[in-house]
Parts: sequence; C-alpha cells; structure tokens
Amino acid sequence: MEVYLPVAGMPVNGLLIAGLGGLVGIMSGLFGVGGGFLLTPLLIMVGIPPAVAAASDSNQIVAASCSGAAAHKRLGNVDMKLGLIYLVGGILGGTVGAQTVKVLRGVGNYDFAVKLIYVVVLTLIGGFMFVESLNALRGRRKGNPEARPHRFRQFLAWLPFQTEFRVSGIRASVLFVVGLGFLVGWLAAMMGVGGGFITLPAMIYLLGVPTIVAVGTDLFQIVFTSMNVTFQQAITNHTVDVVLAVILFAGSTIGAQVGARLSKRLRGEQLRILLSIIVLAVMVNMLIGLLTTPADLITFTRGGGGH
Amino acid sequence: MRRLAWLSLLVLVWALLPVGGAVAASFTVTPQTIEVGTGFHGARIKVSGKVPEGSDVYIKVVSPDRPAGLSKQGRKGGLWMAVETVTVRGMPGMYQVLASGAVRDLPPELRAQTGIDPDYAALRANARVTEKQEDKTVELPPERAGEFTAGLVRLYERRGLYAVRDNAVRVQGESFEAEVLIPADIPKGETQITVYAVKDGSLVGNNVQPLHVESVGLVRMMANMAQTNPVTYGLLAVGVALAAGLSISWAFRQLNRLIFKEEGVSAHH
Repeated sequence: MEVYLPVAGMPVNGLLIAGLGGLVGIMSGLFGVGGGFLLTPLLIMVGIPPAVAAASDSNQIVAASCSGAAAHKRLGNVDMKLGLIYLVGGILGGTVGAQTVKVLRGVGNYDFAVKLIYVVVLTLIGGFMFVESLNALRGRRKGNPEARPHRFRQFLAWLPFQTEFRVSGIRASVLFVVGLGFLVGWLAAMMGVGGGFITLPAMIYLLGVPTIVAVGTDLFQIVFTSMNVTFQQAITNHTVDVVLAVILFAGSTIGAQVGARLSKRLRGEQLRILLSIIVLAVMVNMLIGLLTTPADLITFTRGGGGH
Repeated sequence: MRRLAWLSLLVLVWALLPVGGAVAASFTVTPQTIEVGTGFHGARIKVSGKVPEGSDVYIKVVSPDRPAGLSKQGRKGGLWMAVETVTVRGMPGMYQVLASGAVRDLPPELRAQTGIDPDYAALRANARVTEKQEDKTVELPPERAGEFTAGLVRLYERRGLYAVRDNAVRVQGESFEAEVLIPADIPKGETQITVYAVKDGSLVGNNVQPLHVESVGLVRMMANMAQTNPVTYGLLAVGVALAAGLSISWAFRQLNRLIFKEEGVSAHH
C-alpha cells in the first residue's frame, strides 16, 4: 500500500511504516519504555530523511504519550512542581535543539551528528540493559542503589537553589532540574525521542523520586516537550510529516495493546535481554554507517529528496 | 544601424521557429497531467504519434530546473562526514532521452540542435555550482564543479530521474509509440516532452508537448502549508496528534471493556 508523504516528498509502503510503528509499540507495551529511540533509526534505515524521521517521530510521541500522561495526572502520579521546572529546561532545550538541527543541516552534517549521538546513546542504554538483565538472570542482586552515586549526590546537594518537591518527597536544586530538562529537550529535538531513558534513571537514581511519580512526571514532561519540539521543527526546519506521524501512531497504538497483553505472559529478564540485543543491533548498524566508505561520496545535503 | 536592428530581429525570429522549420511530427501525451496525490508512487506516460516514414524517433523529456544541495563525504577521525557543501543550480530535476535506435547514434551537429545530450555533458556545463565561504557565495571553477555535477547525475540516475534509453520507441510505418517512466519524486511544474524525427542524418520533424505535474488534495494542502504557513502547520500537527492520541485511547478503553470485560490496559504505562 503506497502512501505519498507530502513533507518528505516521497512514497513509502504504508504497511511497512505502520509495521515499524507496531514493532516499537509492542516494545513499549512490553517494556514500558517509549521506544522513540528505536523508531527514528528504523525510519532512517527504510530511507526516510533523518531530519524528517526525527521530527515526525516527535509528532507521533505527542499522540502516543498524551493519554497516558492524562491518566497519571488523574491518579496523582505527577509531581507538578518538578514537572514544570523540568519543562522550563525542556522547552528551552527543544527550541535550541531545533535550531541546532537547522545549522547542522545547512552544512550537511545532521545525518552524521544524529548517527553519532545514536551510537553513543544506544551503546549506553543497550549495554546497561544487557548487563542488568544478565545479572538479574543469574539471580545476583545489586547493592543498595543509593550508595553508588555517592559523590554525585554530594555535588547535587551542594548546588544552589535547593527546593522542596513535596509530591516526590525530595529536595533538589532547581539548577540541576532545569539543566537535565534542557539536555533531554535538546536530545528530543536532535533524535526524535521522548528521552525517558535519561529522565527516568536520573529522577529515580540521582534525585530519589519514587518510581511511579518518576514515570508520571516523565510522561507529563514528554507530552509538552514533544509538542514544543514538533512545533519548533515545523517552523524552523519544515520537517514534520503529519501523514508519516499518523501512520506511525496507528501502528504503535495497536502494537502497544498487543505488547501490554503479551507482557503478562512472558518473563521479564529474558525479554529485557532481547530488547538490549535489538538496541545494540541498531547501534551497530548506525556505527557501520559512520565507519564504512559511502557507496557514493556525493550525497544530498539534506538526505533523501531534492528539496 | 536600422538595417542591423532588422537583421537581428530576423535572426531572432528564425531562432524561435521550430528547428529546421519542420513540423512533420505530431503526437499526444497520455495522460497530459500527473497528479501527485496520497497514493502516488510514480507514473507511466504514453507518448504516441506520427512521423515521416522511415525516420528514427528521439524523445526528450525535460522538467524545470531544481536547485540541489550536495555534500561531499570525507573521513575525519575515522568517521565519514560531510566535508564540503555546495548548491547546484541550472540542472533540470528530470532529464530523459528515449530513442527508436541507439541514442548515441545521433550525429554531433544534431545533438547540439536538439539538445539531446546522452552524456549529460552540456547539461553539466550549463550548471552553476556555488559554495558558501564565510559570508559570501562563490561559484566553483569548472574543474571543481565537475565532481559535483557528475555526482548529481549519478544520484538522479539512481532514482530514475535521469535516463538514456535505447530502443525504447517502437516505430511502425508512420506511427511511433513509447512509454516514459516517471519516478515518484518528479519535480512539480511543467515538463516539456519533445519528439524529433531524424532521417538520413537530418532533422525532418519535431514538436513539443507539455506534461503538467501538480500535487493535489491532501498532499498539496500539507506540502503547501508546511512551507508557506509553518506556524499553522505546526499547530495543526500538534492538534492532530493530541486528538488522535486521546480519541484512540478512549476507543481502546471502550473496546477492552466490551471484549475483555476489564479496565483497559493502559498501553503507555
């Protein structure tokens, strides 16, 4: 089923794109991760220009996360103060990120940058998950997680503008929260992700936010960060393809239902190993793209189409 | 002085007349318009008509110029990245030549006269390749521009936009017929299809027909809005996503309640 993408300016196989969305949806249902960090590379692999892939992915994330965020808000799992301060950084980061994309596209190196960032991020996520799940399979338990980043916690406590977050029951520096939000917002624009893979561990391990509040607050910030990134990409780079986003969402929403049901029947650790292997495989694919001599040294600057 | 003016006017009129003054080639293009809509994935255009008997037929398909941004990849610190970025202007976004025999059999003087350019040499020579250096735009000299125009030809050939096809026109007596393959990323605007009839080494007929390429429906609306009204488009994109997300999740909750008699699984956490 061929579908012509108006902004990408190319036809794609609609079933293939919906299938990719479905695959990532199944993963998000199974593992409770967003999966944006897999969707952009998969879209690049099937020939969507990287900038269009990332921006449309951000658009899709708005659809995929808004109902979940609303549910968490109703259940009282969102620390509004933490979320709003985080968003100050997130909105700023996303706006700067869209401008970074523009500059990099101008010199023809956005594709390079996005692959490089993906290799680094996917190595970290995939490697961490692989080791964690391997340990879990062997029945080893890690020591008290609070004892580990001791130095860093001291540094966090030393930062100025400490404030109380009552819903989470923590004290943290506004500076750190805004800075973290900025980083995640910037990556959201560069990679087309929600950034849960950074927000969640940072909130849980570094700030000590209870897991369920971290999940709710993360989803809350993802909705608004992704809305801003979608808007910024549309006005600075003209790379948001709504048709692509809708097809992806159609796939991912069905996939997520399937994944959520599957997750009740399958064993967690083995699944996590599988996910980490998939993540590492995507990373290797991106790395090969950076290391091997291109088939043709002359390429279109903006990737894909001639506009 | 006045005589010179008349003379130049005469030359101009002569130059504007169809080549060789011959019109003994008539043809039709079906369809005459390509509509790029939601289901578009390329098209096949039928070109058929009449030429003087015993002629070789050449068909030239040229779309409007389309500026192209190109990068040259180079190795830095072991990784491949863009090391040079240029803009190529003045080359058509699509250029195809079809012939009843071999395109290269066309004698050089007729190549110049018809603009049929099987090696793309004249097309590339016409192109302007510019590079941004600090704040000004500099045109590259031919020896450096060649690498980029050759690369652009390869990129276009790979997409089926540029093609030279021998034995692609069937001729039977006075009639000829050919099929032009139009790839999905054909430039919008008016593409010119020109038919040349060549007999005994000289041009005995030629004619030109337009092929209109335009986006329609949703594709036209979205593509236009994304470029000319990005603020509205951005808000629309966000609005569509919110509406889709909230309504689908509501629908799934109802569905789960009906089928599984349970509270819906919240898919995204």
